[in-house]
Amino acid sequence: MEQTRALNALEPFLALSKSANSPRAAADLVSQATSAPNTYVFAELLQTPNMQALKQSPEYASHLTLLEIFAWGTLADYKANASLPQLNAAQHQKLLLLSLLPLARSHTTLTYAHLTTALSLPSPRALEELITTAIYASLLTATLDPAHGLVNVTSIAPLRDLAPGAIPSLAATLAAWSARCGGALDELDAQIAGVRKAAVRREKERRKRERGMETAMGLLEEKSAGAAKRGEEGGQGQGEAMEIDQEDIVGRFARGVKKGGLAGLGGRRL
Amino acid sequence: MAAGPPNPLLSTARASDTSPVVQLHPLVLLTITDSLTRHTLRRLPGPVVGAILGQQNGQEITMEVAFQAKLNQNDAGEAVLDDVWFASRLEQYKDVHKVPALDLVGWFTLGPSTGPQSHMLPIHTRIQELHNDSPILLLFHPEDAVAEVKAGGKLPLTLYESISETGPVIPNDKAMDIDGAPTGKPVKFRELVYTVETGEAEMISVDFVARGGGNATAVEGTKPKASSSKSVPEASEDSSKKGKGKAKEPSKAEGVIDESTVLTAEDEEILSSLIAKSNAIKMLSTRITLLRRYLASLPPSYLSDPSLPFTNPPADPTTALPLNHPILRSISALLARIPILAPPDSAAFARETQEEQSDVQLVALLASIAGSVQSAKEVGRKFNIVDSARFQGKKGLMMGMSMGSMGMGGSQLGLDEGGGQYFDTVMGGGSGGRTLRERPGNYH
Repeated sequence: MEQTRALNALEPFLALSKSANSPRAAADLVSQATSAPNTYVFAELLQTPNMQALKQSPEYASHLTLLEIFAWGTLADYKANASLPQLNAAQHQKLLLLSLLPLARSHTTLTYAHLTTALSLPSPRALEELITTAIYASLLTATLDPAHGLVNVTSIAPLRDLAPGAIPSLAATLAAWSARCGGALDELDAQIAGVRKAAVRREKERRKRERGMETAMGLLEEKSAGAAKRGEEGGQGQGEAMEIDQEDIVGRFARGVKKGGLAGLGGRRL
Repeated sequence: MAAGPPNPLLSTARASDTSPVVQLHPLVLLTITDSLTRHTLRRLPGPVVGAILGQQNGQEITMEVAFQAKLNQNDAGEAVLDDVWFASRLEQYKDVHKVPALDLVGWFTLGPSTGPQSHMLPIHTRIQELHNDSPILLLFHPEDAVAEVKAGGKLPLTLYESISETGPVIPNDKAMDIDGAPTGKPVKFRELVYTVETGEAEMISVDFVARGGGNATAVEGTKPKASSSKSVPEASEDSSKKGKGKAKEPSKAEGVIDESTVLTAEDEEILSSLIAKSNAIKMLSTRITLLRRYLASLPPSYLSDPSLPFTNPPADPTTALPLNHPILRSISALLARIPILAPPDSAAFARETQEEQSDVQLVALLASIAGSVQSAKEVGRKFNIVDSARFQGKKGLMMGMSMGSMGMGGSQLGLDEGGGQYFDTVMGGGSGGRTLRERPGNYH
């Protein structure tokens, strides 16, 4: 969205660049393009043959450098080169805005103190104004945190051109990112496998327990059946009843007690 | 834009600043696919056409609900809206969606990805006349939806706004007729940018759809095992009846426990959320790979090697990928955003995360303590039952049969209390004893 607007703003200058054959006209076009509102990207203009032809002109080569600075440089780059043409107010403001974007790439540079020095602004107030302008021009999505002297930037508009030799570093960042994705995916897979394994283990334990229970129950049922038989035959319970209670009791009671014992066995296994 | 002859209905003008920004809600997409499915399955004749309702707020247009419209055929054999039906249905929808008030913002139909076609014009102009000055046309491309989804594939739809363009008039256009179309200018369509937005209520339904997908993938592949797992419980039952001697047998059968049957509801939830996350990261990963491939396939230029001259490299027919500055700028801006995603006050952020984490763990711990207390209580209760039974067994001998008259009712009471009335059960005879025996099984 922002790019479309910036490109639309640049369109007339691209058209004009075809006719700007003389270095003087081309240099003039550079000043016009950089002063115009909403023009934030310049790579397309920079690539036109007439602009590149400025390199051959000793008088106006500095205008080409200026355009390059507007494309991917910062205010610091401009100050480092004294031979560059003077900036008018609009150009200066735009260069300030554009310099803000590369500075918004790390939290360490997003402090009031750092930004005011990097952009050579007189006061925090001027910085706040600049950032507000940038936010309204949809160059940045950000909030100001004057209490801690911080600028919280959440996104940066794609309105800076790439500096020469930028692609390898981009590719490296992407590679690192994709490696991180891979790592996260592996971790997630491991977690999924872990949940499944835990479920299977739990189920195994549950079955083991159940089986143990049933085995014990079955065993005791057999015994009690036997005891009942004995009780009927002999009138007096012995054996298991003695083991449990160690007391000679009437078989009828012994049967009930044994059944109680069964329950106790099952209960302990819980 | 598209290969082949350009669509005469498409405007060649670039999207301007004044173009509306559309926020598309998934409910509209669901409605469209739903009506498309019904239409196809019922083999209904005629095109699929429907209305889209939303809010318009300055340049921002939301598309929130949609419904399929009834069509009639006019004298010329063209499909047109049934105006009466359409108006009443529109009123009904407006009544339902009062706050915030929705209005007709556009309409949808099916069409090829090359753009709108002339048979869509009558409906479009009709809507324009009756309901909305500038309806947006949502064109759904069924052939793209069926086709293999590409990495980073877009939704198979395009949005168009209509504009009246005073351009070179096509010779056989109706506008040339003196008593022809009511509008003197031909209607042209211009592509719009859209974003997909989700409201909270929609999130639930979309989440439901996505979860269905997640579960489907989770169970997939384990189905063949299902039949074998069913036999496992039976096998263990059999063996337990046979007694201790055969107890080891089913341990072999345990090897084939079917994961899908032993997962609890909680596990399913965890799994589906994990799978959803993993799918999202996979998608992200494929897109990153796409960007990497794009960067790798760029021809050598000043951007990859500063020593090269600053010109657009000549279009090489073999590489066929010219430097596309907008794309490169977008990639650069995207990557610049990564380092600033974490909040600047990292110490506070870490503390907050830890606090949250410990809170969650504390709750989990409390839950497990409560669970342990519960099972301890159960054990105590059961032990009490057994213990009192043994005690009463002895006592019963002394007390004699007089207590036996209390019978079964007492036995239930004794069990529930877990207290000293157990002797009633003993006295109650066979059936009382059975109740007891089944009891441990019930605790599972």
